[in-house]
Amino acid sequence: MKMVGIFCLLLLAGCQAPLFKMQKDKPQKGVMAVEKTECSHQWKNLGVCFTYSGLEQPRVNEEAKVQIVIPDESQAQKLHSLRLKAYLWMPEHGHGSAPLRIEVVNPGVIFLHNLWFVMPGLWNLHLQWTNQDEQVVAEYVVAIEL
Amino acid sequence: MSWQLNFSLGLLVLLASALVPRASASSCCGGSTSFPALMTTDSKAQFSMGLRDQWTVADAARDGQVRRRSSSSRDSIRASSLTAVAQLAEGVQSAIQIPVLSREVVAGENPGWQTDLGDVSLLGSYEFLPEKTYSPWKPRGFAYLRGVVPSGQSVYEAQDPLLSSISGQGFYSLGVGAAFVKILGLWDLNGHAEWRTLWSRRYRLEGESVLISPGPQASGSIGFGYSPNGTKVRLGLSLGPAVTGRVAFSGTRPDSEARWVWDATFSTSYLFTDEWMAAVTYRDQTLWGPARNTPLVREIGLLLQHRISL
Repeated sequence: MKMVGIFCLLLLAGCQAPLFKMQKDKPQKGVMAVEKTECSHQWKNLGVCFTYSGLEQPRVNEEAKVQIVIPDESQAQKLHSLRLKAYLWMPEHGHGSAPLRIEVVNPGVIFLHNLWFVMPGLWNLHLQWTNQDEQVVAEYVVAIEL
Repeated sequence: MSWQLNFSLGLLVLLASALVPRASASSCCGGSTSFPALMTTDSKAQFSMGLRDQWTVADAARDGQVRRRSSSSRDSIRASSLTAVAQLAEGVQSAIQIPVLSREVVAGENPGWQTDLGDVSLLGSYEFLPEKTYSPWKPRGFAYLRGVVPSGQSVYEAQDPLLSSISGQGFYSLGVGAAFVKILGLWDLNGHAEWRTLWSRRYRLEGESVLISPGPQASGSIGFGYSPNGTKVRLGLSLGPAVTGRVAFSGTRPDSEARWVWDATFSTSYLFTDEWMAAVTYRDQTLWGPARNTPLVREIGLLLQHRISL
């Protein structure tokens, strides 16, 4: 009976979902160094992990919407006094796109609207957290090849 | 003798129509060669009205790989321009060119359309190699300065989603160059080379004041023409590169990459009278390379030109 109990506990432990699901993104050129430790994407300076979706198949001159999720509530609280700044930039051509619209649904869920990739090539989505003095305290760059 | 003089004059006038410059009409980042606004005839003044339709067909990556644009995504520019050239003294000319650009970007069901003033350019030239006596080889040579005022809206100011409001480069620039023309019987040859310096300017990007320092630009062309039917018609072909230097940004943004593109231009001109002419041009950036880091365009242009004799 004791053995059956231990077996069941082991089974349960094996089925438990990890705290941070490993993101199996293809390696993307231009992404700033991010250690894939316990979370896929991370604002390193803040120690905040997040996932994003909506950029799986971006297309030229078609609006993309991005959802950012910070699964850990305590990490999301760290961002309370900060402001998210997000913009698209084409590093090889040296220009951006139209201003993005940021919608904070709750501390752990943020939507980015109005992402227009006006031409093919390499685009960077900059996700910056700024403090009250408008200084960037953490940045993550998503590289997107169209 | 008089028919020979008329013939030469006709060729000069036709050549002038083929050499009328284009207004700079880059979508976001394309470049083009642009022959300076010069009078190659003995005229007091010359007025040109141009209309061009330009559309982006492909993009050249940094490594030179060319990718065609999809048919659902259209990016076209309609540009009209007025150019006036006047002779100030013997061999000294000045010109002004005022472009108006309408840009249409269609992406599926999302069209963007806007019309704006483009970058106005001013030109002063001096004929340092006049053709006072006949020479079988010596061309006429013009040295010039071309200034561009950023009266159009640049990519750093455009706010609309499809960036259809871009109508200029966004920087003051000064170009120095030389142009040559030579008539050899039924044939003519022409060429130019220009070097441009652009001044840094501050723009507000994402709420941040950024000093943007564009690198130098260079362009050139060589071309020839043939008049198969007396002086009434001229067929021309020219080829030339345009190079745009890196753009540097203050702050954290990285420098952009340099851009290369080649223009191949075919033109047909028709001389109605000694004072009126028309030309049709076709320009294609996909025919010659290498092209680097730039959109590639095709263009059809119409030109009507009137000159006032001395």
